[in-house]
Amino acid sequence: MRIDYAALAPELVITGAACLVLLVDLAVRGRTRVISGYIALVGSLLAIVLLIPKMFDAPTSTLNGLFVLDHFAVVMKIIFLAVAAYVIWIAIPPMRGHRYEGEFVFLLLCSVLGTLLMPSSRDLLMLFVSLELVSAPAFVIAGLRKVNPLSNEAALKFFIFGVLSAGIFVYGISLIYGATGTTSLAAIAASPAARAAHPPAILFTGIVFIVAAFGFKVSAVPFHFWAPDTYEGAPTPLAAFLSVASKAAGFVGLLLILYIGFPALAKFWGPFLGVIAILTMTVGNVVALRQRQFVRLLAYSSIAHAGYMLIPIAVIGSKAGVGSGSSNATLIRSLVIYLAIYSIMQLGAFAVAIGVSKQYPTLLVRDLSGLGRRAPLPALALAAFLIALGGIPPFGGWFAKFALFTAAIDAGTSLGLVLAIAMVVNSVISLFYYLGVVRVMYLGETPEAQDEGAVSFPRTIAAATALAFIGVVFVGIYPEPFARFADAARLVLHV
Amino acid sequence: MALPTIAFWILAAFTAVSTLFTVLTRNVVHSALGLAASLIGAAALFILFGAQFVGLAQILIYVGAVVILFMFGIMLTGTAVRPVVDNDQRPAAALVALAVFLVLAAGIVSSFGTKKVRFQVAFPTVQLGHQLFTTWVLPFEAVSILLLAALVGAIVLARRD
Amino acid sequence: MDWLDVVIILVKVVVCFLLLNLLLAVVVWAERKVIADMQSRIGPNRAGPYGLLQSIADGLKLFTKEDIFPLSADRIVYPIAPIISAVPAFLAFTVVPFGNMLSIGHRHITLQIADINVGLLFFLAMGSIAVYGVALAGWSSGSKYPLIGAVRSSAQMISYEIAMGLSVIPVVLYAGTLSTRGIVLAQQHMWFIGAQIPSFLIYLIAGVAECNRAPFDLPEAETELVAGFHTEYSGIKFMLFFMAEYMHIVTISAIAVTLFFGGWMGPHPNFLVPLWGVLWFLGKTAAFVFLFYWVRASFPRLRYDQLMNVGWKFLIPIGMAWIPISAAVHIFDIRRVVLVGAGVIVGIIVLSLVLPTKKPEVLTEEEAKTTA
Repeated sequence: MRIDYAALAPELVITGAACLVLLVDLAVRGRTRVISGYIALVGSLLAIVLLIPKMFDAPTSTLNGLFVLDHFAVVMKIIFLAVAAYVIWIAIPPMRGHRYEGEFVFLLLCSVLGTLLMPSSRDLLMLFVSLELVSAPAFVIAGLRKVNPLSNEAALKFFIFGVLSAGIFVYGISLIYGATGTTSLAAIAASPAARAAHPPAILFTGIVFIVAAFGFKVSAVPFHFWAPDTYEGAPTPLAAFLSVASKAAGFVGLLLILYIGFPALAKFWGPFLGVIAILTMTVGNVVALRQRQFVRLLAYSSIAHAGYMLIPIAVIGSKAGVGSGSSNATLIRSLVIYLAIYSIMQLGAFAVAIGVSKQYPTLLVRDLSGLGRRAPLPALALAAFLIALGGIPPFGGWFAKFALFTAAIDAGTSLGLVLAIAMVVNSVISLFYYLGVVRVMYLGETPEAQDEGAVSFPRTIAAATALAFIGVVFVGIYPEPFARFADAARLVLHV
Repeated sequence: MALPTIAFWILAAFTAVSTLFTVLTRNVVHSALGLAASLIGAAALFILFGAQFVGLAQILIYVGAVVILFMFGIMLTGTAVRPVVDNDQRPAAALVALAVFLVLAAGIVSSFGTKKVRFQVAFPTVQLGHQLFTTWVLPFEAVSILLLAALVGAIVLARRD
Repeated sequence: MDWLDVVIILVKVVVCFLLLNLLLAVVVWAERKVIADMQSRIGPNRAGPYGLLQSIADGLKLFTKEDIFPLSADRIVYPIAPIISAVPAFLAFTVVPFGNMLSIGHRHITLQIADINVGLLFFLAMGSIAVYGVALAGWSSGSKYPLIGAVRSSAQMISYEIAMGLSVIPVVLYAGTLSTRGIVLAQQHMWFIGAQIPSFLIYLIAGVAECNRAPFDLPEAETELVAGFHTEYSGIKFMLFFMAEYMHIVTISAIAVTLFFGGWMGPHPNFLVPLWGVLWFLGKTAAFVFLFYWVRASFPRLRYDQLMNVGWKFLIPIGMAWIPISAAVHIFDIRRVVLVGAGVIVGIIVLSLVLPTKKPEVLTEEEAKTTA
């Protein structure tokens, strides 16, 4: 059997970079250990470069259809790699001189490899392996600050929830395999059990289990409990990665399984996801209102955003003819746009948080007070990210929400309408806490006099923040190229 | 009743009882032992249905390595001296477990209630190997990276700084 | 499968079980005699001619001894631990092919209790269950020496199980089957020892360690731990542990013969063919059992860190390196000579690394500081 190594090139590059990091970290000592971060950075960028020509090639598949490289996969991989490069970049200053600097980079690259495999997987087992590859290294990274009890708690909670969800996922797979006799998504969709007028009951149970497992991954209510504690206790760059790449990988996996594997059962999972979406955004936003710690606030905000991002998948399910018509493509496109723009805003906010955390390790919202005077430029950027997350023009977020909203309305189903309205209501709620932080930054009094000095930002973090700021402004003012990029992300059912 | 059917019922009962024992006993070591027994029962069921390789691999890996490491952990952490643990969530846990059981049992019975399962002769292991290293080579390699990451992670977490 | 097949299987099981028990008595007696001879002693010489009945006398003694149940022992686990220890030891022998075929009329009887298609895996799996007997015995006794012995021994057995698993992979690769009978049949032209010296050495070292035998007998190091995991046991329960240990020796030797020395094969006259096979098998196995005695008499016990170093830092890496080498030679069909040459070299490396007891590691200045 021939293996299409060209299609696997980005994965191979990341694997190679990970192994190289392990070996190089073994050889170097002291300050030069920072080189592992740069190896990872170069690897990620090289993988992006290798992927770009694939944007213009026809979709290919290899390994008997187990691995598919369509344009959706290419676009998602580019997003994942960009996120990975950004996270590694902003992780260099806080991890510098850390005892496990090289191990951190290695584990992060393993996790990135999992995200890369996810959008190409067309088989339940492959999806399971990818999902575990995303999570397992992250368990360890969450516990890297070993002397910090919060970090231990973060790792333990994340681990227990993650392992439980893995078990539930496998159980779901076994039920589906029992009903259909296959693990290939296309074969499941074509199987008599899934197409029957009355599908076997365990197929529904299997879908519920799989949704629950991915619910943990994307931190959807009621599977979200781990997220705030883990984000708060883990090294902040990991929190950034978890809230963006790992979450996006979860959405991709969920979309692939439900959209490719169970189009015939859409009437079941559509409304089911709709309920979860409404619950998620509401709980996330309402609880975020009461948060005093900045990373926890971002965690709840990311839960709320997970609720928004469930909308397109739920609406696909609410439509009768799945796989037909352009509105499905529009919905998937809106999901891709949202994921991409959300990544920029969220990563930017985390970059500022990492910058501030050097002086204020606890990262309370109160610590940000007066940031507008003490670090005007980062404060301005953070304000932009928060306003963007709230969805107010001219910063990027409005376009993501707009795309999602119109796609949901255009689908023409009542579920789409309900979800679109729920999103608007929730966006208004979310403004309270986003703007609350902005208010503290510009109008808040610093509690102690000695805190009046300038907050110094490492140069790398400042540059990274600036980049995200430019991105968020650019997307907000001129979203056209971005939309074009997302337009290319066509999910192919059959190769 | 045919011989394999009798064997099936005995093994199924054994597995179920030892699993119940695992969750009901308050003694950690007994619990680990019950888990090992239930895994052996499951392995025997695999073998009964012709998946000899999977069954024995299960014994080798789960019974021989994973549960033994539990025992190891119990012995090294001093839990061995005071092995009885309990918490006050038993009723709630029982309720959840019962609910999950009823849902799954109802689903499985309604989906497969009338189907007959054939007992098969052993699946050729050679074929398994071929499949693993051709079609499934990508997940196989991905798992090896996963294990490498787990290895590095375990060392990182276990090491005394 | 008709009733006759069932009868044949039952007969095979019963006969083998009885013969094995008898064999164990001989193995125990032989060990005491051989070791005594190597240490210039006489050994057992009272019960029967040359003390031949000594094992039986010991067995009777243990049967009639008081069965002590310590106050702090675990009610459930303490009594069943010896059984958990003995059962897998006997079960492992079921996959050992001790002869070729016995043809009576039209019926062919394989001289093996069960020829399952994953026999080797079964052997390894039983070895891994055997750890439970030791671990549970140590824990359930409720006293500290057995507990320490159990912890030591489970760590040791798990570590060396990996090495053993790695060492059999090249053999499986060459034979193309996991069936023990198939592996013997694959050695018709050349015994695997010819091409697989490193594998064999690793298997042998790991095998000695799996049996908890000297020089790897730390779990029951008398000078440190009284009698290790079975300190609190007496009477028939103790006897089960005792039998399990010797059964392991026999099985490990028998599998070594099966994997590397052509099993029942050997030159033989052209009559009573199956019998010659069994004799060859017994003879080769006896040679290995003798090797176990010899090793016990020759080597001092390893220190615990040395034990772990040998397992993890030498046997496992070398085993892992040897697998791709074997596979490459197998696929690319390089002349066997190359393989044998490489095998000899790697074998020498293995021996040179393992045999001399390692000097205690000297801390570098920096490390000493951090430890302090």
